[in-house]
Amino acid sequence: MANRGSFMKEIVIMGAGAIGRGFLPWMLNLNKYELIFVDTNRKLVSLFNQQKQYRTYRVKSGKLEEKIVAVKKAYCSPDFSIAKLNNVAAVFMNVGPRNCRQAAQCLQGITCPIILCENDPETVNIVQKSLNYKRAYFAIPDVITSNTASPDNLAKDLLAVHTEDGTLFIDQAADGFEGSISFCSKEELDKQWAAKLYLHNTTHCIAAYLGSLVGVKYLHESMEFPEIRKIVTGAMSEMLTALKLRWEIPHSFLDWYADKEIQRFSNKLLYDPISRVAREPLRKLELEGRLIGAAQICLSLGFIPYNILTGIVSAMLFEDPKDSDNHLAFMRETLSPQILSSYILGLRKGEVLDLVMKEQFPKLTLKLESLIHNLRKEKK
Amino acid sequence: MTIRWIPESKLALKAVSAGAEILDREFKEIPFKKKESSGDIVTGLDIAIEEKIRAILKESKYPVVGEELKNSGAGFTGKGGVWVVDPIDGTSNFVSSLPFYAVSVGFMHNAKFSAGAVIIPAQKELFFTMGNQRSFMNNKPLKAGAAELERSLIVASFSSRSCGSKTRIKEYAVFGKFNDMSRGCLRLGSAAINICYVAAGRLQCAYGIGNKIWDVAGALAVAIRAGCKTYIEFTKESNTVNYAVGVTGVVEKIARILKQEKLANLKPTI
Repeated sequence: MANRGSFMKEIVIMGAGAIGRGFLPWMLNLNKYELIFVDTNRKLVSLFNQQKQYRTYRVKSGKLEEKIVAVKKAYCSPDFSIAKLNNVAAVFMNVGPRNCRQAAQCLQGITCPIILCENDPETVNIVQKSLNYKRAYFAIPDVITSNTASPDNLAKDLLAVHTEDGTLFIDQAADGFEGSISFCSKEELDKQWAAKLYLHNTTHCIAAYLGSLVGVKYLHESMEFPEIRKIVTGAMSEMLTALKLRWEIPHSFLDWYADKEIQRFSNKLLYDPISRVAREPLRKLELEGRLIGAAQICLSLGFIPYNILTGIVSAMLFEDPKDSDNHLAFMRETLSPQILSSYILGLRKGEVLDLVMKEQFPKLTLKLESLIHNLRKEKK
Repeated sequence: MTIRWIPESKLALKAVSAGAEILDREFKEIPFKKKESSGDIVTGLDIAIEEKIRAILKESKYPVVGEELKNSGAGFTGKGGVWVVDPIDGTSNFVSSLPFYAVSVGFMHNAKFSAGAVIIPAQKELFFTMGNQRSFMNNKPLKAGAAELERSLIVASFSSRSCGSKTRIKEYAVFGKFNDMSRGCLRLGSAAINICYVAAGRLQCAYGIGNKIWDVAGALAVAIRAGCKTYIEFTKESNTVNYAVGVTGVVEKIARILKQEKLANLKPTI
C-alpha cells in the first residue's frame, strides 16, 4: 500500500461523521486517492491513526456490503493546515453549517476544489468569503447515513458506520476528480436541492422530533408507530403539494422522491440515531429553513400545513441536555408564545404564520402531548 | 462549575418579556413628566411595567430595588440577593421614538451580577443569562472576543446632572479622548443597550460614570456570562456605580484612563 500510495493523490475529508466517514468512501475512487481525515474529536482522530483503517457498511438491496477504508492519516483540526500538503485533489467539508467558517481557517493557501456537503448552500459563500477563494462548490449527498452502526458491527470496529446506497451530486464546475459522482448543472442541482430540503430534510427531522418525544433511539423505530408515520407522510404530502404548485419540477420526479424518502426513514438496517437527526433544533427552526420555511411556502400557496405545524411544535418540545441548542427548553418554559414567536423564531407580528401559530400552538401542543403520552404507554 | 441561578435567570427573562408585551400593547402617544431635581423623565408606562415586573418577582424570596417605585431599602453591595429593575432604560429615546430603549432586570448576589435579562422591543432583541454559565441574544449564544483599542468602537453613558458640573466637564473631555483613540466613542442613551451590544460583539467597550445600578445590573450579568471583562466601582452616592465592560485588549485601557483621569477607581471583577 505504501508504494502504491506514493503515486496517489490525497483527498482531505473534514468532519469524520456520518457523511465523511460513512458515505464519501463509497463515492470516491479509492484506487486513485488516499484519504486524510480532519476532525475536532481527539478520540476519533486517535482511533483513526491507531487502526489505520475502518469499516463502512452500505445497505444495498436489503443487505449490508462491507468496505474496509484505509486511512493515510488523521488530524485534530487545530493541528491541521492544508498548506503542509502538496498533493491534494480535493477537500470535502462535512462539519455542520455552523462550523464552516471556523473549519475553513486551516484551508488558507488552498489550491484545489473545496466540496461542501453541508446541507446549506449558503455555506459556499461563507467559505469563499472567509478564504477569499472562489473554488468552493455545493454538493448534495442524497443519502441517509448513520453516524454509528449495529451493535454487532460496532463490536468488530468502533469506527464502523452504516450508510445507504446514495448519490452524490456536485456542481459541475468542480469536475476533475474521479468516483461515482454525479457532476451536474446548476439547474439540476437546484432541483435536487429543493427536493432534498423540503421533501427529505423537513420530513426527516419531523420523524426524529416525534420519535424523540416518544423516547425511541433510532429513526426506523419512530416510523414504526402508525400515528407518527401518519404525521410524517402527511407532512410529505403537504410539501409535495407545495413543490408541485410552486416550482416547475417534473411531478413524476417529486412523487418518486417522496416515496423513496418514506421508505428510507423506515430502513431498519441504517441504525440512524434520532439524536443525530434532531440535533440543533434552533438551526432547523430557522426562518427560511426546513420547518418554518416549509410552512411559510404552504401558507403562501393558500393552505395550512397542519402536519408541518405539528413538526414545528415537536421541534420546540425537543429536549436533549447534551445538544448545543439545549437553551431552547429554557426559553420555551419561560417565554410567552408571542415573545417566542417574534424574538426566538423571528416571525413578524401579524404575519400569517405568526397568526396561525398563535392559534394552533396551544391546540397542537395539547394534541401532541396526549399522543406522546399514549405512544409511550404503548411502547412500555 | 456548579450550575447556579437558573431560577433567577428564568424569572428575569419572564419579567422583561412581560415588560416588552406591555410596551408592544400600550405604545401610543406617551405623556411624560420630568422627575424632580433632574433632567430625567418618566412615563406612565415606566410605572405600569415596574408594577408588573415586581408582581412577577414576588415568586422569588429576594427584595426588589427599582427605578420608579418605592424601594424596600434593600442594598445591593451587601450580602444576600436583590433584584434590580429598570422598567424602561432610555426613556428619552423612547418618548422620541428612537429605537434604543430597553426593559432590564438584574439579580445581584453578594454584590455580584449573577443573573439578568434585557429586552430591546424596537429591535426585537432579547439578551439573557442562562444560569451562571452562558448568555444569549435571542437564540444565539454570546461569546466575547478580543480587540485593539484603535480598531474598536467605544460607548459611553454619562452621569446625571446631580453629579455636578466638574465631573461632567471631565467626562466630556475623556469622551473626546476615547473618540480620538478609537474608531469612535458613541452615546446611545441607554446604558443597558450599550453593555448588551458589547456582549454581542458590536461594540468593544462600554463605560459609565455615576450610572444608576438599575440601568446596568441586568446587562452586566449578560456581559459577564458572555465572557466580557468587567471593572466596577460601587460609589458612595446612593444606588450608583462606575464601570467599564468590554473585550480583552480594550477594556483594561479604558479602565486605566478613567482611573488616571480620576473619574473612577475601577477594580476588575472576578
